[in-house]
Amino acid sequence: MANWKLFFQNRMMMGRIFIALLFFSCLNCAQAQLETLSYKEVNFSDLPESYQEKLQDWKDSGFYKNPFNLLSLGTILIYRGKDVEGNFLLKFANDHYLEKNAALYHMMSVQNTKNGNYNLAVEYLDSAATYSSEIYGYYGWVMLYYYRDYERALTYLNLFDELTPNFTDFPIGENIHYLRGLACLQLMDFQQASKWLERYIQEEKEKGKLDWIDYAVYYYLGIAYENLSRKKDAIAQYNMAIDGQKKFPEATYRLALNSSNKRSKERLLQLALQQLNDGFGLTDVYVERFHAVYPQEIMEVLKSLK
Amino acid sequence: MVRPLFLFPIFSNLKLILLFICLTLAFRGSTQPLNEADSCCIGNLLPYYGGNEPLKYEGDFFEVKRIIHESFKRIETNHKNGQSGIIVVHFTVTCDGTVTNVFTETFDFNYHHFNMDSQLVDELEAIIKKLHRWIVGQDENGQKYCYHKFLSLKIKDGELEAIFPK
Repeated sequence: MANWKLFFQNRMMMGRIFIALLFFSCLNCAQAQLETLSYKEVNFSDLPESYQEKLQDWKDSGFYKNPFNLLSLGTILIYRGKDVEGNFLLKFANDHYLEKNAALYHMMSVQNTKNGNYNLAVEYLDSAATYSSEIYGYYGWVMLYYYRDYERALTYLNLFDELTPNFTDFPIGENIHYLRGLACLQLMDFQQASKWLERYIQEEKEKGKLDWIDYAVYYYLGIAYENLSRKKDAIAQYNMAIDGQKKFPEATYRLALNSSNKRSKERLLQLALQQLNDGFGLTDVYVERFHAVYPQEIMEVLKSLK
Repeated sequence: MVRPLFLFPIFSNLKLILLFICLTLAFRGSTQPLNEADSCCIGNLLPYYGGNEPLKYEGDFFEVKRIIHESFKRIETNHKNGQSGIIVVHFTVTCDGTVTNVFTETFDFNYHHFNMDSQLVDELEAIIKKLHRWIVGQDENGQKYCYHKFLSLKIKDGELEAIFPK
């Protein structure tokens, strides 16, 4: 029992499971959306010789006939760092679809973003947008986290929101007001950031779903308040973050910085450091989280207190 | 048999997954040139976030950013001035933590290929080549991973604005 508890407490392990599930879920969703497209079967002889050689053993299975399988293989090759070969297969597969849709280009874009092939990834997203405006949700989300392009993130998130103005959207599972709040925070528009983040919290409160909220929103709202010289409100938000998540080293660190009592400051810094070392920091396997705090920063402040 | 709902994507794609595992193995031999230093990487290249243990740097991303920011300050002003764009440095971290196969792409803010000051690009490439404290993970058999990795540097009017993804 204890082992299971430890297993689920291990963020790294949970992250890996999540990624594996996400990967295969994506494959599954993409497959469902691409199944409706008509295509011409791929002839083995149409593949370049080097590919024919490698796929010779699987020729009889006929898997190559369906371009979706080549799209998936191309994606996996890019995942394995073979960008040129993978992208060749993506394009080759795309050419065999008699009709296209946003899901097709979305699929071609995702792994290219993760490999830093920005020109291709964005070109494919732009193509996806010509087929469906629904892509703007993902487009905004990815611009925010993976491209650090906050202006564009806001533009696309707003476009996405305009599609269903009376409904709160959740691009890639995250509240759109939260995402817009983060974009504004990064653009240092703290007033607007606080408005979006407050709106996210308010809506969750009204729905009675505060337990489901991403507690990091309180941390980010605290940062926005701090920059608006609303220190008391900021401290309240950091405490909310800690109340919700129990171990929130970044919020604890900010509380420490705002503490005027030297002993309390030191105690909070030590606590934040311990929690970070225990793996409770804001992390993401693909990208750095906004306003992440590192042990070195805490050590620096601790040193200055001596 | 009752299947947990969250495993549905795996079960429904099982045949496909097995096929792709086989196919990925078929593409193990890279067509990209490998030198002696990264011979341990053949067939074992993962993205920086992949494997049992994602790629790490001693001192975490904080240290990577610190080194790049400090080195950036030392680059001669005439190479930085007026420069705007995104410099993406791609590289391989081999199983012994060495940085190899470094190549760079530069983009404008519309994500089109775009030429930036070549001296600036070379200097940034050199900085990243010198990052030598990568911590590589290993699989269940103790075989160390090699990773493909990239660092993107967003430069606006000669100022280093952001380093990402992590």
